[in-house]
Amino acid sequence: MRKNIIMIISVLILSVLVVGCSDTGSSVPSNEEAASTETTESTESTESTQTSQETLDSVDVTKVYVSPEWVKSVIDGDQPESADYIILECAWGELEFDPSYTEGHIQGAIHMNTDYIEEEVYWNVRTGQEIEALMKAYGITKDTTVIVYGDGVMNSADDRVAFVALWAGVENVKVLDGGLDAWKNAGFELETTVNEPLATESDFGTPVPAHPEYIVSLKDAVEKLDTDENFKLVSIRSKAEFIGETSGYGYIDKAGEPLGAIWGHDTDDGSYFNEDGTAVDTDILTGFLAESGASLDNELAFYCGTGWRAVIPFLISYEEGYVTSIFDGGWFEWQMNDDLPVQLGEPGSDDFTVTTVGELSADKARK
Amino acid sequence: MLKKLSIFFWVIEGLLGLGAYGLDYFTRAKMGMARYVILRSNQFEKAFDVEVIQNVVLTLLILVLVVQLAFYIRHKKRANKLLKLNMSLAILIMAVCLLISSRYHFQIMRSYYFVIGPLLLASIVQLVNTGISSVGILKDENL
Repeated sequence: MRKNIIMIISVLILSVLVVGCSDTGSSVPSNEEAASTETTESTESTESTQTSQETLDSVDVTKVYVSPEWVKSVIDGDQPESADYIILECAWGELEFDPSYTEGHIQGAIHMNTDYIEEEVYWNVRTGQEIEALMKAYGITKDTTVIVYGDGVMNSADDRVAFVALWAGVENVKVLDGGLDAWKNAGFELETTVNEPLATESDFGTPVPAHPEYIVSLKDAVEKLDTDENFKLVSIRSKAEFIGETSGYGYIDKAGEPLGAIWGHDTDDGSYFNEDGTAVDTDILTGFLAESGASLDNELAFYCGTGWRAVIPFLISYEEGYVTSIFDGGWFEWQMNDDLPVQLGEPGSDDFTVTTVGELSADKARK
Repeated sequence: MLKKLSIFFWVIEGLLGLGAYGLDYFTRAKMGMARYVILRSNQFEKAFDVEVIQNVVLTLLILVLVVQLAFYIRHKKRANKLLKLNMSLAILIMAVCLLISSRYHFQIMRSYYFVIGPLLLASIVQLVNTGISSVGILKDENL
């Protein structure tokens, strides 16, 4: 009898442990979840060695990449036009798996999981309705100054979120140039308090998306490549990805590029960043485009695998007044369609071949 | 001999359980793993009627377990420690499979197929193990 009781109790305990360890996946926070109560996990903070006392000029609304000093001036209340602001620390995954937040973040920053802005089939930007709900849950309207940052230069999660905010209709979007590294190098404080978003009941202020033209669909990309000579699909991927040596991703088995794509260099190798980690300007982008006979006068759609790297040249050109777009589906969505044309090798070289997705070998996933 | 065989099966089940846990953990911790798991899961759902497959497999496993339980109850007096332990483990693993399959699915748990798959496999292994132990007592094998 005693053994039976022990057996039953063991079953119950193990079942609770197994079930309790499971994740329920990411979900857009609801208004109920976006409580204004702060959860203080620790009050430890890094003392700054130097605090900027400068009064900085305001920057244009269309300026995207901003300095740590400017962000600090917003926090200190020295930028009246950005009195309504939010700082988002952007990374993939939930808070518990984000050391760049839990180990110290910018004062007042709120964690933004990129799963909240991307759907899970093609990893494309979610619908306007979903993004609007997300904005509301985070207390963001079109008039909120949205400041985003990531843990470092190579992590473009913040750029991705910035792009989505602009696409949705937020008018003033800023990316901390150089990321958290730049903030630390400037000697500014970090905190470890976990900040929760404060939802708003206010209307976003404009239909979402306010700028649907910032995203090119697969259908449109196929059509424009075929019919519009002025349209350039610009690959923001590594050379190895561009010529079809590798897909660049562990979960994408096929490698190649949409037929007609031109190479715009990769962001992951630092091509779009200065030595200090800040973003380059359009002179660099112009040079890359010129290699393929293109320019900022063309209708440009940047793409990569799933849209993270591609948003960087978009933002660089955006802040200098150029209107470009993102082919959001990227190579990931393109290679899901067997009939679509694909190029392999360097255009103009003897290695250049044209085939279709269905003919590609499925052993090109990144090892 | 039977004891060594049981230990071998338990090790396999332990590895399957660890594998399931590890896959779930890294699906939550690593973007590349999450995307891989989600992609394969989406492909799996497109290719197969997973709900039917899961229900059929679970039903078959429950039937086998019930038969083994009936055998155990009938031969309880002759049941040795090995059979009792294997029977308990078979019930435990089945309970875990049923709990997870009733509470989760792919839409709310990204790693669902990568967790339930190994657990169902572990259940099958344990049922085989229990079956062998049952045969063992019929042949008067001792622990």
